[in-house]
Amino acid sequence: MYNKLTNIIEACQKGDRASQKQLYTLFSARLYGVCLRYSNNEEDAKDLLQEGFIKIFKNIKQYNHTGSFEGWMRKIVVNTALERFRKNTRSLTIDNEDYMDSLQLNYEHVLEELAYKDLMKMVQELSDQYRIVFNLYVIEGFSHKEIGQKLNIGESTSKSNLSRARELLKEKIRKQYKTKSTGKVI
Amino acid sequence: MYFDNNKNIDDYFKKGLKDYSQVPEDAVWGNIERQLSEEKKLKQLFFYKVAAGLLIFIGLANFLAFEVSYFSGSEKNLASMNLNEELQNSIENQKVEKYSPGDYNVNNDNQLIASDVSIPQNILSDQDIQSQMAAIEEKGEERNLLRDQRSLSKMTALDVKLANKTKEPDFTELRNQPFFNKSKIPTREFSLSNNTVQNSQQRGNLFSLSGSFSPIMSYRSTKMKTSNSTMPKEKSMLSYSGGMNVGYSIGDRLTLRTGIHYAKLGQSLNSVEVSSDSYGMDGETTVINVASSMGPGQIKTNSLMQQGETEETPKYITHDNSVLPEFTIEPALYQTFEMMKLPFILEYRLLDERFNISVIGGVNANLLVNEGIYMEQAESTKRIGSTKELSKLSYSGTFGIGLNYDVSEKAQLFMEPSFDYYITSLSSDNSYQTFPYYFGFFSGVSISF
Repeated sequence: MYNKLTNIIEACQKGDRASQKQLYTLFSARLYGVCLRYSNNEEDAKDLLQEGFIKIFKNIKQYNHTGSFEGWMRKIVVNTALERFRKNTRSLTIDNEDYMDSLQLNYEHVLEELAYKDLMKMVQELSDQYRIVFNLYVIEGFSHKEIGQKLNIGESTSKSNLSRARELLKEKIRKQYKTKSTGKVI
Repeated sequence: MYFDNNKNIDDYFKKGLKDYSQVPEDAVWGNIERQLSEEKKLKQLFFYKVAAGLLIFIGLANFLAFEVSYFSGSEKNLASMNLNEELQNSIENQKVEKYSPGDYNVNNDNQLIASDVSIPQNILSDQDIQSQMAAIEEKGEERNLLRDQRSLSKMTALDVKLANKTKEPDFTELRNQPFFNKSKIPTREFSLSNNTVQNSQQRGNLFSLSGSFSPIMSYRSTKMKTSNSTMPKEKSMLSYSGGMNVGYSIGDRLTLRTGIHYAKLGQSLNSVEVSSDSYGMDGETTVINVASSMGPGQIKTNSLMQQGETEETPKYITHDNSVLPEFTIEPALYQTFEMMKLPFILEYRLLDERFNISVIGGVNANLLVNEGIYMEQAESTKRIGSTKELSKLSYSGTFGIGLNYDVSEKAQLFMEPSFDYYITSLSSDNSYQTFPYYFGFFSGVSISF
């Protein structure tokens, strides 16, 4: 597998179209998963995937076979998502709604019943800013300081955005469970 | 399980979504493929435009050069006669009489009818020249003479002599006449005037304009008076150079060239070691001081931390996003110096054939226009610092070999493997005695006029 991937990468570095398609076939599903997380619908995710792959093919000569190739591609896709976010967002404001009280809910059954697609949908339903901050902090593992630098916002804004995103997700989970188990009080 | 703390919900979403995958629609690849093809076409189109532009430029330059020496054909023909003894004698025997207004007819509108002017047979007419050239051509001399432009210069003396012997028609009196119609006067005869012949000779191929480009491999030699154990490993760097030159022939084989060139020099800094002593302040910015043979470098810590955007998070970035006190910067850094070069180069041709070899050498004044320390990212190269205490102006020497090929009388293709060595240190700090140098394989086009 390693040698095969190396050969594909080297062929892609020479601009071989068939190898580009092979690379796309190998990684498009996983990168599309990343794109879905950073988009609020599938159409945007597809556009993001397309733009990300174009950048990958354009810059693949710079990949020097050190470190994870998939990680390198994911970084490009995430950065493409951030660029789009920065372009589309004129001002970054935090939601001034009061934070909901901490929910003391029993989610055990809820979680068992929720499919990954449902989780994805919940994340996609977050506002752009909450979704980006949530993804960068929770999934990618960036610190609030790093997120602040990437999005040109303050560290405290990043923290409050994350907190709000968490609360909204909890609320969505609660509503989802309500729908699935009508009459059951949680 | 309660979401009574943030970690639980974070872990839950992370587990569920980090490796989430979903096959996209087939149409996405179709769009990517189409976009890749379009961009490839655009690249090709750009290349063709450049090539077409170059061809047009060469063509125009040739055309203009031809226009400038409008009468060069006649001059060549006349010059060619130099080798034809029989023809030369016939020229020398020719005597031209001065015209007078009485030699011209005036029509009903009081205009001079130039067509009525009977040009004396002892002035070289086109027919004469053509017939005489045909005779020369039979002897197989004409082609060589025309090809070798430089042979013309050797014949200047004869041309002048010929022109002196052949008086131009004197239209001075005619011009003062009210019926004078300038457009009707045949102008070709004026080409035989002394001034015209001499001026044409002076203009012919004295100047040349050339453009060249080359990838260059640059590095430095150093005679540093201080040693530094924390000095990073330095290696040569591949970059590029190019520019325009104007040449002036100061002899049969010697040409002086000057112009303006751009050159990007530098070196790579590998495994830069940072210790707690490396930190300092530049104004209000925290910087990491980096030793290098070119001069003291400073890297902004903020710029270094932002490298995590496209690469894996560097090892020197801690979890709370600060920089470790001691670490090694693993990606190579590039310390670059962008120069505008004003060359003064002498070129001496060793051969005098269609394919020429020449030796070039000279000095250059180099103006530092930009510098920086750069780090490569996945998508671009980002400036993260700078080198301090650099001289704005420095001097270098150039030595090289020129390989020239005449594609036409006026256009040459050339290749010049050359070596450029700085004769003054790039650093203004006397403790850094470092002299950059680079090898280049320049290629380009030269137009003579």
